[in-house]
Amino acid sequence: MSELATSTPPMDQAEINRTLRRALRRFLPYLRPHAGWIALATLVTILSSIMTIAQMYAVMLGVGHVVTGNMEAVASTAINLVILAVLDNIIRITYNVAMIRVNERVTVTLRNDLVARLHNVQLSRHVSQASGTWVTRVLFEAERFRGYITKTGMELVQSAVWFIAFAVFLLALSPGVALPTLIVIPIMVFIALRWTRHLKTDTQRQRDAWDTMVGYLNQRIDGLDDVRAFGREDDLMADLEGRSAGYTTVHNRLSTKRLWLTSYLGFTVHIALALLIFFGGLQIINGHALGSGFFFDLAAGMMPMTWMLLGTDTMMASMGMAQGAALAAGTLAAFALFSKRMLNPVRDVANLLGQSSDMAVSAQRILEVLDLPEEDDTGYDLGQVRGHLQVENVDFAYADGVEVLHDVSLEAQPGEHIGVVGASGAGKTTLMQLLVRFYTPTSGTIRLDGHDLSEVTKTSVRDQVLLVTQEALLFDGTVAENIRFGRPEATEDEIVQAARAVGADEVLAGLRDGYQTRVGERGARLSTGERQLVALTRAMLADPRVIILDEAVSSVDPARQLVVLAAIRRLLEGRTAIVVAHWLTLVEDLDRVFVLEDGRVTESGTPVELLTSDSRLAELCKVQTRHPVGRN
Amino acid sequence: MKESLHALRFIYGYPLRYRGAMAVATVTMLLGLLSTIAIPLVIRVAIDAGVLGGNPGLLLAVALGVLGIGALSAGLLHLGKQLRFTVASKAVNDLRHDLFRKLLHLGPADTAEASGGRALTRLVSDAVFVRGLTNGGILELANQIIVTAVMYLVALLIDVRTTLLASLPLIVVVLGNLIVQGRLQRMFVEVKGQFTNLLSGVGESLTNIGVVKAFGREDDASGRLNKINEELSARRGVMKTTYSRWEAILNVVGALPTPIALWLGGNAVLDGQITVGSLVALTALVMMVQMSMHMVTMHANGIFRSVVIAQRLLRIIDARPAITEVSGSRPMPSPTGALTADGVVVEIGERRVIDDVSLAVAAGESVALIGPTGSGKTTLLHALARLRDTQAGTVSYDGVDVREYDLRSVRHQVVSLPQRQWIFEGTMADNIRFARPDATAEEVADAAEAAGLGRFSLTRELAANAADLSAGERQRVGLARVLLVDPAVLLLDNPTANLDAETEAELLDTIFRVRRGRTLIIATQQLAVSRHVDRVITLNDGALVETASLPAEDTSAVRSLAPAGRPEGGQAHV
Ligand SMILES: Nc1ncnc2c1ncn2[C@@H]1O[C@H](COP(=O)(O)OP(=O)(O)OP(=O)(O)O)[C@@H](O)[C@H]1O
Ligand SMILES: Nc1ncnc2c1ncn2[C@@H]1O[C@H](COP(=O)(O)OP(=O)(O)OP(=O)(O)O)[C@@H](O)[C@H]1O
Ligand SMILES: [Mg+2]
Ligand SMILES: [Mg+2]
Repeated sequence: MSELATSTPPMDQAEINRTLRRALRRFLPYLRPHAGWIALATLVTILSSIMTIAQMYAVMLGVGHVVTGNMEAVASTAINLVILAVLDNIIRITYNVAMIRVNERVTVTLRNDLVARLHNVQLSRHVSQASGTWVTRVLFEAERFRGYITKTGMELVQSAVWFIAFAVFLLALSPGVALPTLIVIPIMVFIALRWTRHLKTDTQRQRDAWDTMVGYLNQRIDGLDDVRAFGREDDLMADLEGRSAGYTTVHNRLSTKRLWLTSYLGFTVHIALALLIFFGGLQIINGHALGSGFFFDLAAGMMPMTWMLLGTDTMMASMGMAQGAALAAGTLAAFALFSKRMLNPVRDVANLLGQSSDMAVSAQRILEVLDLPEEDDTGYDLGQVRGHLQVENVDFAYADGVEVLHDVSLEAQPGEHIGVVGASGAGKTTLMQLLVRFYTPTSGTIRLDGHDLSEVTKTSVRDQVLLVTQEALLFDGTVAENIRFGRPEATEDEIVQAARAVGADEVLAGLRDGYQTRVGERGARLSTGERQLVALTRAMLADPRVIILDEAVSSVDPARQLVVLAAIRRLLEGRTAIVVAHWLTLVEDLDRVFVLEDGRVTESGTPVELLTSDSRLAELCKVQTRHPVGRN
Repeated sequence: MKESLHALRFIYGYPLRYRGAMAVATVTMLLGLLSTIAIPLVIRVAIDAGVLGGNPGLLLAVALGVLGIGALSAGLLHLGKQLRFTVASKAVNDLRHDLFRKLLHLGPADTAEASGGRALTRLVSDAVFVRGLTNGGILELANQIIVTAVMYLVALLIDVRTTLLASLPLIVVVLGNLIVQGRLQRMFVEVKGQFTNLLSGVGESLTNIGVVKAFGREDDASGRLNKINEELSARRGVMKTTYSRWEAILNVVGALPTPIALWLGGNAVLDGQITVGSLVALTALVMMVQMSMHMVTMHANGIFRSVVIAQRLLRIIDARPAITEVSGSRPMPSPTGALTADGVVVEIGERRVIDDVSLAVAAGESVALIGPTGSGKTTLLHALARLRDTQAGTVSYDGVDVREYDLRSVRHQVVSLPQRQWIFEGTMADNIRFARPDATAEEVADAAEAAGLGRFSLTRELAANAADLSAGERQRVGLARVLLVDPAVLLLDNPTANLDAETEAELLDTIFRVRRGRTLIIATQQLAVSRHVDRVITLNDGALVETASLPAEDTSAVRSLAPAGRPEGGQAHV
C-alpha cells in the first residue's frame, strides 16, 4: 500500500555511490547560495589545522627548552600557547557561526521544498501514503540530512586538511617515524569502509521500520476515541508492545554493528600511538636527530603561517636550539600529548566514510519526495466561465484498476442546479472529484464552457469550481479563521455576512465563543453538524462560479438543512450548482436529477418527471418514507 | 527547582528500571575510561627510561603496553555501551508505552495535550530523548567526574603545586558553563516548541489536503508551514550561536592549564623535583582533565535539556483524565440493558453541554435521540457510555451507578459507536475485527455481510483514514464492528448520515432484527430511523424537551424531524 515506506529495496555499493552522486547533483543547488560562507568555513578549517600543529610545535619546543634549561624560552612558549588558544577559538567561532548559518538556511530551504512538494502532488499520492510517513520525511529525515550536507561535509574537509598537514609535519620531522604511522591510517580507513557494507541493509531496514512505527503511532492516535468506545485498550497496548519489540530488534542490530566500528576505530588510534612511540624512540636512541633534511625544509617552507603565528624570534631561537636529545624528547612528548588530537580526525574520516550508506539512505528517502511528480498544472487559463458543464462518456478507475465509473454522461446548463443521487459507493464522490480535476478520467472528456478540463490549468479550474467535501475538514484555529480560509482577505463582517447568507449564523454565533471559538484539531471540539456549517460558510465566502456540494449538510439537522439549502439556492441564482444528496427532499427543487447506479447514469430528468414516473428515484423516495418491515 | 527534580526523577525512572544492567554498564565504562589514564604514565616511562635512558627493549614494552591498554579500554567501553543501548531501547519503549497508555485514558479530544500532532511528537521525538539520556546523562556524568577526579589525583601525585595552580582556570570554566546552560535552557524550550508546531502543522495540512486543494490554497498552506520552519531555524540558530560564543570564551580559559603546567612544571624539572617524562605526563593529564571537563559540561547540558523534555512529557503523564476510575471498581455483570440517567450534567470547559437530563430506558427498548445540530446528542451518548464523566447526576445500569464498575468491562457491554469511523492501514477484516479481536473469520464475514459490505473482499487492504472508501462504506465498517460485538447496550451516533435511503433501510432492518429485545439508542437526523424505534427523545440545547412513544404517528417529535412544511419527507410529491 504505502509506496514509499516499505518498498525501498536494499542497495549495493554501486547503487549507494550512484545515489550519492545523484544526491550531490541535486543538493548542490541548496549549497550554492551559501558558497561565500562555505568558502570562509573551509579557509578557517585550514587555519584551524595549522593552529593545532602550531600548538603541538610550541609544546615540542617548550619541552625541548625545559630539557636545555632555557626558561626564558619556556616562558615565551607558554605565552605563545595562550595566544594560539585565543586565535584558535576566534577561528572556531568564525567556523561555527558560518556553519550554523549555512546549516540552518539549507535545512529551511530543503524542508520548505519538501513541504511544498507534498502539497503539490496529486491527491492519489496522499491516498496511497499515510500522512505519518510523510511527516517523518519532512521532519526527521531533513533533520538528519542537515548533518550530512554541511556538517559531515565540512568535517570531511577539515579532517582531510588536517591529515595532510599532519602527514607533512610528521614527514618533515622524520620519515622513519612518519611512515609506519602513516601506513596504519589507510588500513584503518579501508577496514572501516569494508565494515560499512554490513551496515547499509540494516540502516535501511531501521529507517523503514522507524517510518512504519511513526505511521503506526500516528494512525493509532487518530483512533483513540474508537479504541475507548470499544474498550480495546489492552489489545492496542499489546499490539504496540509487539511492534515496539520488532522495531527494537532492528534498531539494536544496527546499533551493535555501528558500535563495532566505533570500538575498532577507537583501538586503531592506539595502534598508531604505539607505532609512534616505538619507532620514534628507536630513531632517537639510534642517534638520528629528528627534524633535519629535505622534509624539514619542505615543512618549514610550507608553514609560513606557523612562523608568523609563533613569532620569528621563537622560531629563530628554536632553530638555534641545541639539537639532539632535547629536541628529540620534545618531539616525542608532543606526539604523545597530541596523539589523540592528531589521530581523531583520521578516525572521524573513517567513521564519516562509513556513514556513506546512511547518507545514501537519507538522500534516497528525501529525493523520493522531491521527485514525486507535481500535479500537472499545464494547459491554458480557463478564464471567467458561465458554468456550462458537460461530462461526456467518462470512464474512471482508481490506481487499483477497478473501474468505478462507466460511460458517465451528464450536463448542467449555466445557472442550472442539478442533483446527483445514488446508492452509497455508486461513484458520486469520485465523479465530483473528476469535476475539479483531482483525478483525470481514464477516458471520455469533461468540459466547462466547452473547454476540455484536461487542457486547462488545474488552478484555473479550481478557481471557478469549488468542491465542498463530504467530510468537513477543519484546521486547528478559530471558527472565523477556518471560514476565512475561503478568502483570506475577508473581514470579520464579511464572514458573519456569509454565515448569515447560508443560514449558519444562528448556530455559529451561538457557540461558546461565537466565531472566536477554537475548533480543536480537525474541528474535534465542534459537533459534526457545526463542522459542516463552518465548511459550507467557508465555501460560500470563496464565491465560486460553480459549486459542488458533496453531501455537504448530511449531518445537519433536517430543519436547518432545508433552511441552508434554500439559502444556498438563493445565493447561487444564476450559477451552476451540483448537489449530491441522500436526503431526497433536498433534490426536489433542483432543475434536473441524475441517478447514478454502480458507476452508471441510469436515469435523469426533472425531479417531478422522475418522481411521478416509475423510476428508481421514486422507488428510493418510497423507501425513505415507508414503514419498517423489521418491526413488529 | 522542586519541579525540575520531579521531572528528573520521572525521566530517570525509565533507565533505572534496569538497575542491574545499568550498574554493570556504568562500572564497565568507568573502568574503560580509567584505563586510559595509564597511557600518560607509560609514556613517562618511555621518555625517561626508554629514550633518555637509551633502552629499546623498554620502548617495545611501552608500545605493547599502549596496545594492551587500548584493547582493554576499547573492549570495556564496547561492552558498557552495548549494555547501555540495550537498556536504552527498553527504556524508550517503556516510556512510549506509558505515554500511550496515558493518552488512551485521557479521554476525548478536549485535552489539548492529547491532540494528535502534539501527542505524536511526544511519542516519537521526545520519547527517543530517553535513549540519549540512558547513553549519557547522569551516570555518564558521574563517570566523567570520577575519571576527572582520578586524573587529577594522579597529576597531584606527580606535582602538587603545578597541578593545583594549573587547574585554577577550570573553576571558571565550570561556573561559566552552569550560567550558560541556564540561559540556553529557555531557548531550548522554544526550539522544541517550534518543532512540535511544525510536526503538528505538517500532519494537519496533509490530513486536510483535500480542502487545501479544493480551494487552491497549496501555496498558502505550505507558506504557513514555512513560517514555522523559519522560526524554528532562526531560534535554533540563535541558540547555537549564543552557545558557541560562550564556548569560545570558556575554551580560551580552559586552554590556560597547559601553558601554566609547562611553565611551572618546567621550573620543577630544573629544580630537579620531577623528570622530563613526568612533565610530559603531567601536561598530558592536565590536557585530559580539560577534555573531560568538556565532556562533563556536555553531559550536564544533556541533563539540563532532559528536564525540559521531561516536563513536556509530564504534561501528558500528569494530565487529569476525563474519566476518573475509582479504586475498588468491580467488573460489570451482564446487564439487562435497563439504564437510567438522573440529573446528568456535563460541562465542557465553561459550557454546560448537557443540562440536567434525566431519562429511563427499559431493558430491550429502542430509542431515537434527536435534536438540532449542537444540541448535545453526541455528548449525552458519551456520558451514558462513560466516555465522559458527568459533572453532576448519575448514570446507572440496572440501578447501579456505572462509576462503580471497572471501565473496561463497561465498554465491552455498553458500546457507543462514534460518528466518524476510524480506519487504519490493514485489511477490511482487520478493521472489522478490531472491535472484537477474538472473533472467528466466519463471524467477521457475517458482520461484513450484514453491514452491507458483502461486495468487498475481506482481504482488501484499506488506506489509512479511509482514503479509499466511500463515506457510506466507511460508516458501514463501523456498523460491521458493532454487529460483531453485539453488546448488551448499543449506542449509535448518527449511523446512517452518509447512507442512501435503500442502504439505510436495509441496515436499519438488520440492526433492529439483530437487536430485537436489546437496548439500543440511536442519535440521528434521519426521519427513517424514528419509524423503527419504540420511543423518540428530543434534546434541545442540552436539555430534554420531550419524550414520546411511538407508534403514535403524529407526535410532534416526528414532525420536528421532518423538514419544515413537509411533514413526511418526499412523500408529498410521490
Ligand atoms: N482512492 C480509491 N482507490 C480505490 N477505490 C476507491 C477509492 N476511492 C473510492 N473508491 C471506491 O470507489 C467506489 C465509489 O466511491 P465513491 O466515494 O465515489 O462513492 P459514493 O457514491 O460517493 O458513495 P457514498 O455515498 O458512500 O459517499 C467505492 O466502492 C469505493 O470503495
Ligand atoms: N470537546 C469539546 N470541547 C468544547 N465544546 C464541545 C466539545 N465537544 C462538543 N462541544 C460543544 O458541545 C455542544 C454539543 O455537541 P454535540 O457534539 O454533543 O452535539 P450533537 O447534538 O451531537 O450535534 P450534531 O448533530 O451536530 O452531531 C456543541 O455546541 C459543541 O460545540
Ligand atoms: Mg461519497
Ligand atoms: Mg453529534
